[in-house]
Amino acid sequence: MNDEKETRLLRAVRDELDRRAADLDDLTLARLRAARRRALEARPRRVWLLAGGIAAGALAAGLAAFLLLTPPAAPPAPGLEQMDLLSAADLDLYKDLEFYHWLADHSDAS
Amino acid sequence: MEHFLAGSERRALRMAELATGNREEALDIVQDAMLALARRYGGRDTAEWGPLFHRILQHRIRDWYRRSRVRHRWLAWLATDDDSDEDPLAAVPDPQARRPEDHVGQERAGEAIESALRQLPQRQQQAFLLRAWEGLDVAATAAAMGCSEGSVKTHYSRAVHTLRALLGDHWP
Repeated sequence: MNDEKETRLLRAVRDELDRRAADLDDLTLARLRAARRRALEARPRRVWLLAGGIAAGALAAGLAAFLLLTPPAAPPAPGLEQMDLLSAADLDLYKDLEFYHWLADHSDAS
Repeated sequence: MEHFLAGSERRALRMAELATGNREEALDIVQDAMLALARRYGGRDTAEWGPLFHRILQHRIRDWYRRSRVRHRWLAWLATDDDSDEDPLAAVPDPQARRPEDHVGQERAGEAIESALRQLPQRQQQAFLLRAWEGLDVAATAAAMGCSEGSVKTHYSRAVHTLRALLGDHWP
């Protein structure tokens, strides 16, 4: 079979495939439409994605502005629990530090 | 997306029907393929939908073949108790396929074409339909079929050769 014959054969096959695809019965076409509708309903909604993206962006921007514009707060005073953790030895150390400072100052003066 | 699916669904159905020989199975396959495309790739560029849809469709058809093969193996094993490794599906005649020779003398060449296409092995049928009917190039066909470009060329060439042999009398 030469190229011309082959081309003719392939064209005939394509034409037949097209013809059968175009001649589907009404019931089959209705089922295809229903399947298409289900597929379209199942796809992720762009509107919701867009709204969600905008909301998330606004929230992030607000949070960033709050963090940038609010002055850093003073470190919280130690709670009772933390006070309990300070042992007597630690208090002695603080007293000793005051003493050492005082001692250093007075040593320089003398 | 709706425009794309509306323009593709009939041909997709015919491809699946030629592969399975069963319209109900074909409708299920096409519906699955449309759902998967819309869910997973609905946000992709529209130019990508065609190759992606055919890829999904061909995978679904291949899955159907695998399940069908397993089913037929079990049926054959239960029926014959034969330990042969031969694929029983190969021996199962397609109830809708008739030999083209049966149509010699008839004017319904269309049925001869349908029958010849059904007789093609699955991979040859896929390669032929995607290349000759859908107009995909070799690379896109290879992507849809999940094989190499060389395999596509081989399958397509063998398909054309088989069709020539089966239909040559109708187009001398």
